[in-house]
Amino acid sequence: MTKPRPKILAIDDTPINLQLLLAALKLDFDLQITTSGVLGLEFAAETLPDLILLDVMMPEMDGFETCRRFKADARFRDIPIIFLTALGDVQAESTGLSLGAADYIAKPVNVDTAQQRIRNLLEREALRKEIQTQFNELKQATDLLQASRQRELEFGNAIQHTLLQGVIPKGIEGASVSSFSEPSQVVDGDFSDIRRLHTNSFDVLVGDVMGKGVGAALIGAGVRSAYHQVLADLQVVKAFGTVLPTPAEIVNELHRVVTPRLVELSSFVTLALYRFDLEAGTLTCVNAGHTPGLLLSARQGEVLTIMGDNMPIGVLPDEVYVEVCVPIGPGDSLLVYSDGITEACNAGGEQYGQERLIAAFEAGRKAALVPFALLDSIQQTLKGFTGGAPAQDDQSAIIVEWPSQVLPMTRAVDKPETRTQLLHRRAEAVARNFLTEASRGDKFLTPDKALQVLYELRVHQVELELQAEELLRTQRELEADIVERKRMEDQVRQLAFYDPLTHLPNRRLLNDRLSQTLLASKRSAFHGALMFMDLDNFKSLNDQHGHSAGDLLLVEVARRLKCCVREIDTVARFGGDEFVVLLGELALSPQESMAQAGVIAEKIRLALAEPYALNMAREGADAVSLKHRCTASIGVTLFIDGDANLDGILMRADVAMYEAKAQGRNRVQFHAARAEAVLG
Amino acid sequence: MSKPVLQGELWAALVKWLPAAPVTPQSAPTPVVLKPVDPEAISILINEILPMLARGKADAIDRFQALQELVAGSELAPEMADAGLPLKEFRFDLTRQRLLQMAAKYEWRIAQ
Repeated sequence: MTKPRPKILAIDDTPINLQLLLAALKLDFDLQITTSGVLGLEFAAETLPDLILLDVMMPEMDGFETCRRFKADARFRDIPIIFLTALGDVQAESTGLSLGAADYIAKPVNVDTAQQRIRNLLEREALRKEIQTQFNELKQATDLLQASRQRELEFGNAIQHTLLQGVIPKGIEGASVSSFSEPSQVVDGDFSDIRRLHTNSFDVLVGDVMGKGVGAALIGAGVRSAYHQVLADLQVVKAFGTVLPTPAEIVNELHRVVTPRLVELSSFVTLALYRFDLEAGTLTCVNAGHTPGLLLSARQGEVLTIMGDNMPIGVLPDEVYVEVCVPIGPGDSLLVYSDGITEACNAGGEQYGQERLIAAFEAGRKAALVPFALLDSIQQTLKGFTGGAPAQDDQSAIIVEWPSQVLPMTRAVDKPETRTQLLHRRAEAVARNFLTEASRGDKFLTPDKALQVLYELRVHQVELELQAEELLRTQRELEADIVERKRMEDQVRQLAFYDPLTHLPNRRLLNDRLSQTLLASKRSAFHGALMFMDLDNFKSLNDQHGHSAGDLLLVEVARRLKCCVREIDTVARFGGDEFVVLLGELALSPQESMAQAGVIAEKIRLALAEPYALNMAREGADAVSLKHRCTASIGVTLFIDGDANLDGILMRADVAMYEAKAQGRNRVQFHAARAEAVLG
Repeated sequence: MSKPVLQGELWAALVKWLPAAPVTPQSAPTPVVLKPVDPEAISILINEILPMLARGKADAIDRFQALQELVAGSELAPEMADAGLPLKEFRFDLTRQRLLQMAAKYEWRIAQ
């Protein structure tokens, strides 16, 4: 099969030139000829030539315009173009080259030179195409690799968040448990588990596998599964008693089972197992090289760090894991966390660290936040520190709180639970007695005796089954109660911290955020800013169109405000038509911070001054769109830790806001004294 | 005229440029024996040439020459030569148009 000749399109209106080209090229090339640029474009679309020879001077459409059109079309952009120019016409050569022509041939055409130039260009174009093909193949391979990596990541994430992170079981009484997990962009081996043992007793397991990737996640899933198996096995061994395996027994058995496999895989696992026994008032912990637990004691008012001196599992085959036991009481809280929190870095590369975590934990407890809100507050503080940068490592934390006041329903299941224990003991005693007698010899183990024992065991079995049914019923009732209580807690939390109309944080949550921002400012020395704003002439809208119109406006104002600030900032409704915006972590320099705050305030002012279209529903009629214009007066003050308390900062912003009103509304006004101090 | 000179082209040129000879009834005209044409062969060649002309392919020029050779000495030679004249100016479209007209006139089979 002969190699196809390269295709050349020659566009020239001078027959003598075309005759020369024909003579020079027809043997080696598949030549296509036309006398006009328009036809040349048509021919090119049909045959896609490998090279174009183009005359400059042509009627209707000259060579430059034809070249422009070729280069503007993606199909022809890469086809090399050679201009045929008059000898010495430097201007035409220059223009042609600037339009993207690859070369030029001067007329009258020298056949040898023309052939050589064309061959050079075609060779160059062939090489370019080959490189492009290789590049495309490489890109395709890279895309496939990336897609494969992405699938692996998604798979790993799925493992991590379905198999590795435990859910809070129902039926834990007397304690309030909350957890969060902020997945990173990589897969790693963090895992957790919360297991209810009795109504007043439960285990919390947290762990982390060395390294990252799907391998670490799979090992984490394996260790967590082994923990479940070990717990089940040890419970079976003690089935005739009611004593559960201790945390040390569990971890030592887990170590016995998984360490040989971890050594084979050259991996190890840090973990900590906490057992809460609210009836006994104890917290027992085994820590195998994991992050310490932080126990905030209500009585002592300080954080106790619960550490262990054991090595991680999978390091030393002879390691013996020991437990520590500390008393706990109502009001105490335990925070366990992954190292993704303490090792999170800010823009300067500084780690968040345990000290900041403890500070955030104490501040949240001082504010009497429930675990859910406390974890939210810790997350906010962490985001404030890292500037909202994506997590490099999974960040997870669990808070267990023993509330100061135990709800009455805790006692409801005590009796059935105690009775079950009693039945277990009786069954165990009968069985032990039977086995002891059997071991003494046949003379005591008569068929009558055996039948009697079997009968007693059967009676106990039936009693146990009845008890189990009763317990199950009670448990279902409790679960329903707990779901209801959780729903009410959520509702209370929503009502306590958020404005029901705009869903913005209310004054209480604002105070909390402000105190956290001040704490952060103390550590970072960055300035923050507080803006107090009041809508101008809001009352007239209410008077004219009713409160529903006012409510619609407030909701829209809230939405616009949120669009103007960063995620780490807080927008709160202070009351009525007053809003507050809290900006944290602005800059070290007060002048720069003031400038930044001024820009954001102006952005807010302009956003709020845009026209509003309030869609008002009318009873028995179509909704009507009410056009409204509204402005805001904004008072701003800078703050840094130590220059004022919460009320003082709010007061300054309030004073500035009234100053803005006095100066004609719809303006931004910095607190005069504070601004003077900043600007010197 | 381009060389090599073809009979048909030469005939066409002579007819075009020479004044008509006066009729001399004294002597009887020498009878000219015209070569018969092969419509099938012409159809095959024309069907090959037409797409080339439509796309401005330079190869069409050589193939048209082959067509002229095929009809040389026939009554079609002058007309074919005339149809090929625009090719000198690389006006493939005009030659194509003339060929289509001839195909219709002589009922040559043209592929769609």
